[in-house]
Amino acid sequence: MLELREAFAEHTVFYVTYLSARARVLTESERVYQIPNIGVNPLRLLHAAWLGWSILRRERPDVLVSTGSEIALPFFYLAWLWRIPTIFVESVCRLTSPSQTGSLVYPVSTIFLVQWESLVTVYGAKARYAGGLL
Amino acid sequence: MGITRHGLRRESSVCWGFAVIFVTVGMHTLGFPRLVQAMDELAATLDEEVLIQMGTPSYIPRHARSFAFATQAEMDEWCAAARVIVSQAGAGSILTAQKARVPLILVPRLKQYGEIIDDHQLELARRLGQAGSVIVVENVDELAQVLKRTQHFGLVESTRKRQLISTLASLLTDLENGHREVAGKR
Repeated sequence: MLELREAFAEHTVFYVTYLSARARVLTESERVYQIPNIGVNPLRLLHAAWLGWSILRRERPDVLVSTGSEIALPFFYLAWLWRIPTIFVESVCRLTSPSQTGSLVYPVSTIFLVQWESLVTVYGAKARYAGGLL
Repeated sequence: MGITRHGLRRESSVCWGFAVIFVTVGMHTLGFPRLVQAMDELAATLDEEVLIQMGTPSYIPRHARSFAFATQAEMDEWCAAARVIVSQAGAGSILTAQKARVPLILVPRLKQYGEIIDDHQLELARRLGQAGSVIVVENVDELAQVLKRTQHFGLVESTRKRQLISTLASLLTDLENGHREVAGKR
């Protein structure tokens, strides 16, 4: 996500990410919410959804952007419920097959960007190729 | 200078007066002994210094200097000081290496050797190799030859990143304005 920073330089931004040393460094210059890692644990996913609900209710963002991975899940569905537009940027590592997170958020994303043209037809009509980090 | 928590002496790249071949296996928990060993054996035959970020130590280099893990800032510093970078084909490693604007050789981790869970690194490396922005080495026996060639290897600029950033920027502005109108925030 930070590789794309230039794209949102003009906007007021807050981040939601997992607790980590890197996230702690980010807090020195940005507004960051750190939440526990969801992994593949459904209870943690529910917890993240609860945290997401309170973060979104407090912040009321105009747009949500994510590069994944599973942290996007609760936030994209909550955003969809609250009609907050979302942009998902699929991983540059996915060339020919979708990621799990991408498949799950595709139905509710406002904009769905893939980083390789070969992935457009894999996903469907909503997917757009708009360049890539590598 | 100092001892890292892995017991390896930390060298500052500022102390090096010359360029090095920097090898990185990324911050993956799985080691990559196939690459580390190949580069260590080459280090014994080359005139150049070889520095290896070896990750989880499964093969300990005897000829090259090495360390296990590093911070992002340290990795950026090592890449910038390198004459050429030899790296696994993870997205993070590639981004770090490309920032340094130094010739990049990718050695993808391969599922068949238990180095990674699937062959997405191979797929990514081959695609970038086709674009001409990196050299891809799948068989580590070829490294010696390739390292000689990179003396003359030029960098190919990719316009893809610029395209993604500018598309994302205009989408953000459009969506933000649209949502503010709807939400009556103006």
